[in-house]
Amino acid sequence: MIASSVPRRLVGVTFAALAAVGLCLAQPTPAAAAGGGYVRLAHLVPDTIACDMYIQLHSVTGDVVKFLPSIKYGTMSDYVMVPAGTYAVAMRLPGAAASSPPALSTSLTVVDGRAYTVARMGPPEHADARVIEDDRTLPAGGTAKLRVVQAAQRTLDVSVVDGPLIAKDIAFTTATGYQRVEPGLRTLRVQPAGGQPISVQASVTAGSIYSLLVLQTADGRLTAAVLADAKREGPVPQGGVNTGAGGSVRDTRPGPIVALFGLLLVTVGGLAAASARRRQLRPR
Amino acid sequence: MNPQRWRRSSGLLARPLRRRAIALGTAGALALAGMVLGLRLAGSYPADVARWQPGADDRGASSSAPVSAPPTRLRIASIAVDTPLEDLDLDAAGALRAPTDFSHAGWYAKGNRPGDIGPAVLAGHVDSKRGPAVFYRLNELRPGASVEVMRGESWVTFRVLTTRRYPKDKFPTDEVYAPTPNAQLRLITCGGAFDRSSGHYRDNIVVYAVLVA
Repeated sequence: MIASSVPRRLVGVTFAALAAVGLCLAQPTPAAAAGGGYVRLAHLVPDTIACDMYIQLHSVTGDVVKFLPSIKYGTMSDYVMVPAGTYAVAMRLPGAAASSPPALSTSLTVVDGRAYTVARMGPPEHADARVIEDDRTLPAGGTAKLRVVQAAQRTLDVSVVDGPLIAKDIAFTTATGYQRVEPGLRTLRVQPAGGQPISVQASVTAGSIYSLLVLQTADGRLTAAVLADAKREGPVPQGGVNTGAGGSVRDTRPGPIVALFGLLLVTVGGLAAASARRRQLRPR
Repeated sequence: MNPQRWRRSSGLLARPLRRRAIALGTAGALALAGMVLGLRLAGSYPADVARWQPGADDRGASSSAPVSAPPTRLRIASIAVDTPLEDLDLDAAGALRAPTDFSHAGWYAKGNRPGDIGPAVLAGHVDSKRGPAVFYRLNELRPGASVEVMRGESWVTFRVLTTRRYPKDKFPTDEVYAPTPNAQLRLITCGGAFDRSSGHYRDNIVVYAVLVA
């Protein structure tokens, strides 16, 4: 009974130790999104105030990651790629020192692989700094995605001519959800409540993601443009790629270091089990 | 446990185990240096400030590509890769075909051209039946490494963002092939354990890189 239980323990301890080490060594890299996130800056308040926009590390007093001078209404920057982390977006009057307290600011947590638009947004008298999350997940089977960012002081409907409605009754300062759109040359119709519609043409690529930015001109007319949030070309490959024939797998036996390590574990495990057994058997 | 697993799946870094001790020491030192440098590097990400203004209503058609020619050559100095590029297509099941020549990398020609906005895809073999192939050292690529692709007469330069390994049966299509806001590159080869019954490796190594502005 005792004689057989020691080796069983030994095998158990050794196996567990080896398994633990094996798990550590063989753990695949988590399938996380990769390489940083994306941030763009926009001015969507219909007024004549320009502002200097900053992306700063951690807080409005942190290191400046990106500086865009004198941004005006209707501007949307290209994306800046930044490592995942916490940032502040600060907006200052043109020429104000980067160290001065910002007129508007917001904090922004950037997650790996995700994209954000940080905008000066709202009515001129209540402008605010706001974070809008942008979608960059693969559109379903051969379609594209489109949403509306509404920065005109109206309520409006947007639809694809001969296609789906994107959204109805879109209020000023709204970013709608993304809707599926068939690829090709598409005409988007923007219909303000009680006003003349406008239309915008866009070449839509399967797999790509778009925002329709609706703005107003100085004399109050509507204007709109389609911006690509993220793009790709061609059919999406399915699954992985078979790119190897095994000719570099040279040795099928455990290497000397693994063997030594294993031997060490067996010895330590054995000693531990044996001493535990001895202690247990000692009369009290 | 299959002993081959120890060899090929013991992490991204080490293929020959003997190198591991040295590699670990170096990696530790590099990691420390990286932590110190991390904050500085954050400020050096590439960025374009091309801006859209109301009235300029056809910017959606713009492309950042300096040339329109397809890619013909790939050069990665840090792992001694210098190869012509084959055109790759999908097979009947929709999977990306590997290059026919083990010493050449290939470009997925129905997808993005490297340097255009979107994820351009290059693939190459890690080994043939006889030994190492063109992408044998791909898993050694670390963030910051330079990757160059020839288009027409000029080289387009990318910077490695990260190197990942995924089991083929859980290949994250949405992450690897999702649309991107800027011009990126995916370099793909095999890794992990070699499955003798199927004649294929179980994992894929994917290197993510971004265009240097």
